Amino acid sequence: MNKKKINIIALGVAGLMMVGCSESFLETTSKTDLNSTSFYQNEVQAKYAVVGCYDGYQRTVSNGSWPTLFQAVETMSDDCLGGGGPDDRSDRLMDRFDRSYMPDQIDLFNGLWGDYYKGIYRCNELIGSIDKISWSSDDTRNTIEGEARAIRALEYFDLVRMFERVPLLTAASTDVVPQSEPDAIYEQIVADLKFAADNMPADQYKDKSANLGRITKYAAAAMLARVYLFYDGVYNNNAGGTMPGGLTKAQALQYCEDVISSQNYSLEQEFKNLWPAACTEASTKEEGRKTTYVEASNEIVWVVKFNNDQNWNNDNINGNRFVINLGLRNVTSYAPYGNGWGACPVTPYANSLFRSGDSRSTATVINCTDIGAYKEQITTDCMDYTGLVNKKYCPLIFTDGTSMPAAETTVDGGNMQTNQDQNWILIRYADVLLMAAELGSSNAQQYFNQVRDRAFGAGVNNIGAAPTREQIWQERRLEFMGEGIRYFDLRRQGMDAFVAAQMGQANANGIAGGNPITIYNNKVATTISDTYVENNIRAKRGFFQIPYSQITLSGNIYTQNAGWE
Amino acid sequence: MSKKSLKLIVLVVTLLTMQAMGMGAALSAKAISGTVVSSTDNEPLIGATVQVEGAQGGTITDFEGNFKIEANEGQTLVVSYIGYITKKVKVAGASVLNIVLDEDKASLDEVVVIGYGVQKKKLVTGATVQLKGEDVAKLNTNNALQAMQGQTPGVNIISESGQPGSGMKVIIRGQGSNISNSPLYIIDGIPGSIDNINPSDIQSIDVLKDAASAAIYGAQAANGVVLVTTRGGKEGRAQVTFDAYIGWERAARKIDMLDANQYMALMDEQARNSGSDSYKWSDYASIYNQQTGQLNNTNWIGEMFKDNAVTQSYTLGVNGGSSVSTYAVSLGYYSQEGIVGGSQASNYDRYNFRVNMEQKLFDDLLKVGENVSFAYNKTKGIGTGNMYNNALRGAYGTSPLQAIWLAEQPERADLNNGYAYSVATDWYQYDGNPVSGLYRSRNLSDNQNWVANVYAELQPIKNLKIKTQLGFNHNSSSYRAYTPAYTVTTNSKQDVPTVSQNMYKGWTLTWTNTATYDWNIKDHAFNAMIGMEAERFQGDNMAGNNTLLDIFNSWDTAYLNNAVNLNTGELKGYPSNDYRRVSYFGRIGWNYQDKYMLNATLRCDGSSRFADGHRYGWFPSVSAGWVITEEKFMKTTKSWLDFFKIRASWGQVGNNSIGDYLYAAPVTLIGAGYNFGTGKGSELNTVGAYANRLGNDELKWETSEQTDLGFDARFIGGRLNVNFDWYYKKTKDWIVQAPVIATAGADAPYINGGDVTNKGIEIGLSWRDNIGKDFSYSVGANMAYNKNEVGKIPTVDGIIHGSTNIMFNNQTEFYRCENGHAMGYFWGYRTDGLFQNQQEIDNWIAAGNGVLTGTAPGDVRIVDINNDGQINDADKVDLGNGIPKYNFGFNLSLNYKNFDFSTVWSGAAGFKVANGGYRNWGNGDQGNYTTYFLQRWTGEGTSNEVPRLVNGDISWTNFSDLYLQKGDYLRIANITLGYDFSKLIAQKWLSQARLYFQIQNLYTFTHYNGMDPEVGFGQDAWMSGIDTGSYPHARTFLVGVNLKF
Repeated sequence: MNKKKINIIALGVAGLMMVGCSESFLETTSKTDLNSTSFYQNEVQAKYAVVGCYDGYQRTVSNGSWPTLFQAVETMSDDCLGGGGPDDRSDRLMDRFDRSYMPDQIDLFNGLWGDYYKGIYRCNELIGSIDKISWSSDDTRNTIEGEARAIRALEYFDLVRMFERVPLLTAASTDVVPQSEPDAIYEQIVADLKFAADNMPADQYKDKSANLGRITKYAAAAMLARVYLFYDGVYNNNAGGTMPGGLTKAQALQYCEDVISSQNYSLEQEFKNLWPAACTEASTKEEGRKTTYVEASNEIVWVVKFNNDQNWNNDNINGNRFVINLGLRNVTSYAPYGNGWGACPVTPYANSLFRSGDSRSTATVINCTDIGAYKEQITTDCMDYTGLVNKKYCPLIFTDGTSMPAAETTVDGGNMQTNQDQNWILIRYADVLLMAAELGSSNAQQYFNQVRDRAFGAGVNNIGAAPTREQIWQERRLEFMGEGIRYFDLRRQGMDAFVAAQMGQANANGIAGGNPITIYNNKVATTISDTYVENNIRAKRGFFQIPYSQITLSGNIYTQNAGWE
Repeated sequence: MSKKSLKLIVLVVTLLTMQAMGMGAALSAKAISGTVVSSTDNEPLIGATVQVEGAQGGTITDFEGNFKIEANEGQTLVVSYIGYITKKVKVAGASVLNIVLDEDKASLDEVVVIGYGVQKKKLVTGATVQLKGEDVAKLNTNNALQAMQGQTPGVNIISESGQPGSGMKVIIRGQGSNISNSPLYIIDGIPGSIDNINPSDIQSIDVLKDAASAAIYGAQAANGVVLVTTRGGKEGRAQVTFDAYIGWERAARKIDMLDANQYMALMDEQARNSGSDSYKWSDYASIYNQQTGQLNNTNWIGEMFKDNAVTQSYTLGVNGGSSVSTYAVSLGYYSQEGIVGGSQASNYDRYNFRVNMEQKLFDDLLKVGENVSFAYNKTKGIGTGNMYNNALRGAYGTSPLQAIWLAEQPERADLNNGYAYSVATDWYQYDGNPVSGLYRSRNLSDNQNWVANVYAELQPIKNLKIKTQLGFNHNSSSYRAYTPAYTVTTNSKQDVPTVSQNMYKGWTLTWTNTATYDWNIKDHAFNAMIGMEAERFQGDNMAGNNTLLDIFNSWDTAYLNNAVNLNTGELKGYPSNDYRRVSYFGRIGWNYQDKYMLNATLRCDGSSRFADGHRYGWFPSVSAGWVITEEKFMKTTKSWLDFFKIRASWGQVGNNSIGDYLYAAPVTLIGAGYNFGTGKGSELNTVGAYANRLGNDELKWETSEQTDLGFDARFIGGRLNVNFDWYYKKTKDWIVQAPVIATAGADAPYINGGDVTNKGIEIGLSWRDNIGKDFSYSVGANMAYNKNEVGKIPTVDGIIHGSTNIMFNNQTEFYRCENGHAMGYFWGYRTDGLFQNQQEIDNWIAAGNGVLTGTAPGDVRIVDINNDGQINDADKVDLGNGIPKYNFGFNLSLNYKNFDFSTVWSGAAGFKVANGGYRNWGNGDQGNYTTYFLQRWTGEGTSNEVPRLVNGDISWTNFSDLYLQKGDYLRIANITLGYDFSKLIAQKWLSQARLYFQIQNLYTFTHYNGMDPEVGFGQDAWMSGIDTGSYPHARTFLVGVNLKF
């Protein structure tokens, strides 16, 4: 090869190599996502992040993981049976605490478990960054930190009540963290809630029309009382001692008294106006809703908000996804009561507890006989059918069968399953009054009678002395039936009471060995009280199954709860 | 086509031809004339090139094979014609030369396309397979891939569904990846889509199967490479081709459902088995015709299908050129109506236009060429996926007792709107009128693809070629959908009409530069190539939807601007991520007397999909060949063994077919909002944000390593050809989003880990001969075997879990990837017939076995694998998988005088298909059954296969081998009979006038009882063989013509 040729080749090679040598050619970045290393740096980002924390808790319902905490604890309570369709065996699995209904379902709560830890992660990321941010004021910092810590506390409180021994992470980690004993978890819950109740400004988020859904120091205070009572009942035999985190009974009471004396809250005048299905008339789509519903009632202390902007495809994960499970199974002829999947049928015994004149009765239960619907064939594929339906969280429809929130949504593809927007009330003022009474307030009698006055009319059925614990528990059952509260209230009455109530729920008198009620499965009349087996219920102690996937992922460091192996 | 557009084409063609005619003139003394004829049949060759050696220009023969040229005495004429051996003739005394050309039969000199170049077939050391363009075109498939079925051993091609325009699943040598198993398609040197190509435009398809062949494409080549070369122009007279066909399609096999009487009888039996009484049918008013009082009896399957759906194709081509310039132009139109619902529900139209040109400049110093193609396709489609997204699904579940039409509107006048159709009966609330579902929603996707590809090749010195190629691939698409308000059942309804529109535009720019040099040192021939390539992709998307169309409430006027719901709707605009790649590569080859050969390649790829520091990957390969028949000691076998080459190769290739920025830990604002305060509506959401995924900066390439051993042999004068390959492919460092423990709190990061091995063999045999002068024939058979086994999935349980709720409501996981098993195996219970009586159940339990709660005689007997008295996950086993272990094909072609006959058969074996009678076993008790269930268990001894019918069934709601059938099949894919009239007409200007009849998908031999055993659907990318009863394949009868002028 001569020199000329070599030169030409060299030129060609150089030409090739010159092209695209620059490393920056490969340097591209996402135009739609931020990066976590550059986030959580300033106050604006912190405000975004705390909204993300609220969204994290909301997703335990809106994400579509089934079951939600609400539906699980309603199903597992003695107020409701399983229900649903023939193939919704998990409904019966939960109601009877019996795995044989669906033996290959070993991850029933995996979605819910994951949703909770995602929520906790968001809180941990923000709380861990609080000190790095330069704040415009202490109040802003305390508000945001208080909200994030209260949400984290609620998430751990839900987890510890459902699963008891759960991993406790207060900073983000990908390591396998072994399950903690419940006391350690309660200690953290109390610390977080105390921070919020003690440090958040008193007037923060006072205006409900703009801030409904925001956590206030009083919401945290009320939650502390609920935490105390649950711990005291389940772990301390209701002895009234100091609980982990150093929360005493007197402190718990004082937190309730603070809520009451703040005068920020009052009972809604008419009980039914708290519940859309109880205060909405049948109407056509053109007429719109005819309702006396008060969304931002003064009675609301802590509420989880939902929105009607979710469809199957968009990213607005904001819908209340448990409501649809409770609706009348597949019938749309009884507006305003909407169609759904027929889960959590109310037991005849629970419904029979309402005395005549109790305005809560018709606001709590839809008696299908009353609306002319009760036939065993109201639908053909309904299980555990009792003809009694939860009214507090019943979906709503217009007279043509259209779901109200689906008709009202401005989002394309609206549908009755994803668009449900009823808020989930966690703590009402009535609860604060009854908790204060139970914690031994000197005003116990007056607090108790306030609740009675609203239910029956002023002065009707008042009590003349401080209420007993049993009276308060019974009153709570009626006041909060169908709100996801009964199951935990029952648990804190002791294991024997819990088992007895479970065993008796399918009997007319509510006690084991009573007269079995008739229910309908696929239109076939039958009794089911013998499907409740004491061993199944007692062994599990009221706690849920740890998802097997998580046990596997932990390399068997997690251990399963008793009765669920 | 309008007259105007025809004129335009003629103009374009004329212009191109004129350009090609611009040939230089040579100065010379003597005029020479003559004819060029073929030695085979003594027929004149039209368009043969005649040149004076060493001089510019030349001429081509006319219609009679005549030429005239001027040359000096002593000069040499070079006469060439495609497919014939070039002949050199010295100009001596005579001024009339009659030249006879011999056909080039030596297939050994065929070239195959390899990465960034071509190679003589006899020198190939890797495992490649070639399919000729004419073999693709004659099968008349809408997509070239479909024509490859059964013809390319080792390339498993499964159609995803029978819907017009739907894709094909192509798996080369077994599934190697959990992220993508699709090969890389290179069209004329740049990456592109084979779907957009008119099969008639294809010159050849070369598949690079082993890693050594593919490694020159490095990080994109882990799943093999398919190289498509489109037809270029040929020197010689312009040739015009016109190919057209029209065909009629219908479903090859429909599934039979119960009629009304059978259905009612089985429903009654089911009710009695569930403890109820038989139904009082007279209570359900709406199951009777309102006017006649007759029981409704709708055959929903029959109503869904359309017979004689039309498919048609027209391709007009012109090609030709001179010694310095060639061109090929083609224009095509293809359309296919769907057999489900006809053209309104599913339809595919495609328009193709292509110009390939090449010019030689400066005494062949520089070659400049361009390939420009345009594809425009319009697709309408219906859902073909899982139970929630399958338009045919409703037809299986809906009872025959529902009428299609409301009594007062019996005409099919209003197919556009749902209101004329019936709604659910009072008998069954889930009845959803699937026919209205088919026509209710309308959608159209409209895609345009421009590919412009220009190159220049400089040859500054002999055997050194420097080539630069710039490829621009532009895609734009729009999608519009409209759904009117409708009510079908309480749960299936929509209150307001909706419209959505999407638009997308994106482009890929590829710049390739290569230099090749060939040289010899004595008997040693060397070639070397080095190159680089840069690729860049980016795009933009806009999407919007809105409701309330008011006065514009129809498909034709369904546009976002016409939606009057002013304060709402969604409007989105977002980028397609910017993707970049830079590659450097080289190859060196050595060949000693065509006896020993060695090739080695090395490629370095850099990708923007990985974090700095992990962007580059190196992919080497080496391959060698030994032609034993060139050895002296093989002389004795020469009489029967013409050629025998042993090949061996090894190489590594990569895969980065993942999303962008997967290494990063993103913070998202999407969906993080929260609606504080009172009121509802998306406008009230306060913006939020959260970190949604854990990052992993260490993320790197997936790598596939493969060893191949094989031989190519020809026997008995080239009549018998045998190819054999054995391979061992191991793919490692999968890119997996391995589940992390939930307490990590965010979506799992992507990590590398996991591997899979594919081992297999491929055999191809062909025999080609003549009997007498008039009869020639060829027979081919091929077979491929592949075994797939997963190892080392980097999750705690060593499993990648499959999706749930695919075949029925509440279905739990039933397929997975797991260490030690084939990818995507079916995971469920093994069964052992049915319990015939209570005694059997009692004995079974007494023997320590478990049963499901509620088991009664007539239910399935599930094998308690661990004999622990319980039926649970521990009893679930590997029940087989949906990817065929064996693929095979046969083809036969016969030519007798002007007749031609050919047939292609293809088949697969060694796989399972899951099919639960196309029924929703969860919450679908009143759904219809297929006639298979007429053989159900009705008492002791009646059946040991089909369980009893009962509400809330347990036999079918627990996934078991009850669902699985062998999918083995052999399909008569194509039969063609043609006759060429050109000899009869005997006009010089007409070289072919062939008329043919063809049947596609004539018959499938199989024991599978579903619609079609070729089931590509699998929900996850690595899964196949889940038959939810989606769009079946059509049988097509067609007639066509091929004209050549």
